[in-house]
Amino acid sequence: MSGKSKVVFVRGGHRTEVEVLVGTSAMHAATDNLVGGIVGECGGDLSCATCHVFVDPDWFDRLAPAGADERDMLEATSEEPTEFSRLSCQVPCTAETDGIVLHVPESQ
Amino acid sequence: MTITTELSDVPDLGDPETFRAGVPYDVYDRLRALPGLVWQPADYGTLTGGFWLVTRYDDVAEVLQDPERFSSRFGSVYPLLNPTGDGPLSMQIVHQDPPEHSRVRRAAAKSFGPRVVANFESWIREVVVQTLDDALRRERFDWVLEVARFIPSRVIAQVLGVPLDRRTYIVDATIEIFKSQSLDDGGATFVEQCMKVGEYLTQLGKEKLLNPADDMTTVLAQSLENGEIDLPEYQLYAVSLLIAGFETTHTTIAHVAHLLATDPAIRSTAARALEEGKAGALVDEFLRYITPAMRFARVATRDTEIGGQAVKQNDVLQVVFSAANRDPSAFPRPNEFDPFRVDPKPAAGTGGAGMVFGAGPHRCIGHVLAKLEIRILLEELLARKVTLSMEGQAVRGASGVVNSLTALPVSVAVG
Repeated sequence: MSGKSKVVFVRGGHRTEVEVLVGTSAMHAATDNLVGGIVGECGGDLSCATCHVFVDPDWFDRLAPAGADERDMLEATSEEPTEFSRLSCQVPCTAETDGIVLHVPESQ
Repeated sequence: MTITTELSDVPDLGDPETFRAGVPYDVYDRLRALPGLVWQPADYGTLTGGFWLVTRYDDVAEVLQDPERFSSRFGSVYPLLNPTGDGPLSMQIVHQDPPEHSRVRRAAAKSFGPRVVANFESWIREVVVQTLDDALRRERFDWVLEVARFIPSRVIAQVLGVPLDRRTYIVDATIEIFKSQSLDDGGATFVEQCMKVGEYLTQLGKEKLLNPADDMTTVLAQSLENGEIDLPEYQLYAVSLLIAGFETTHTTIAHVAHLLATDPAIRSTAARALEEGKAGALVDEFLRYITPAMRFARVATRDTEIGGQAVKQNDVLQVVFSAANRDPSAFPRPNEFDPFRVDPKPAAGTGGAGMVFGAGPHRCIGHVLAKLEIRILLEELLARKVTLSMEGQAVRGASGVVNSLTALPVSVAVG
């Protein structure tokens, strides 16, 4: 089944809601829809840190935890990471995450 | 049906000498406007007897963002430095594709993140101030020698943790490595030169493991020690950082001075942009306008289509940043220097300000650092009210890869 999944990006009080095919990464959901602040320099290769997001606390636990490489790269973000930080290229949009709210760092 | 466009009346863009006269923007305008891509035959440096010229902004971005279709394995510039695809340079990060590339890149990427580099500001400013203090003592001097070479070489030496007494050696060696890049020998001299410096950096890495410091050689030596990367990767990565950290930033600093000395409109626009707090946009516009790294290369991994052109497996594509950055569909009034432009194209993965640092997995790891160096230099020149004038002709180098200036005789008025 190739359903759709919604992602809500919030940046500086501005909300952008996009709908993508299940399996798309949240990074691509943003870059394919020109959502500001998600750069995705490396294209999802997990070797930059320009797709950093703060996952809304209500949603954070629905995601599989970050791997070692992702935790490593979170050191290279433009904004200080928090316990809710993820690289959005590592966040797949699924039925589980339908409607997920991601806060985009101001300085990114 | 496959249509191949060849033009007989354009200069040989494979020949580094072609670029001594200047960047052929008018040629690029012609190529960009034609359907598909234009093919140029080449006697050496490719796998199929020539190369495609990719000149449109979107096509350049597409090639760079798709390493699965357009590989770096055989070389990232023309002539290809790893033409067999399995030579010693296969271990160099610029010749790796994901996933090997990703693993090696991560070893250093975090040391170049924006929050880390922001902490460099005060010591980089010291380097710039001291360089200008020394250079401006004289009324006339060669800006390339006294300023352009000096700032980035001191910065990258500090970033790598090279001791002061070895810094001249490192700069000279880097220049030699860079020169060997355009030789027609399948990368042999380039490898030899890289390995020489690589051995020095291996020695330095051993010292850093005994006395760890807050520098890149320590980070890389630790990655080597714990098995994240192996020895050839370590050596070639460190050498790549040297070359990348030095060559293009020095080229940019040379061109910035040349533009300030020769173009009164750019001089006043730049001053206004700085006064209005648009330093970041000003640096971006200088970089777009100059485009220090003029082009890179990729090899098609299979028969495919790009920019309306059918290309064959193993065909070389030269992605021409100089052309992409003057693409009117990405930058209206592309030949105008305008740091106040409001609509830079928001291309995914390119930072939106121009095709300067590349796109995709190989996007320049040092772009935050490079921009910081240029911004600080511009701020210090403005603060000192420095006015540059030419004292003779700027001398261009022969390179198809870098927008090379080898000498820039200037005189200086301060205040």
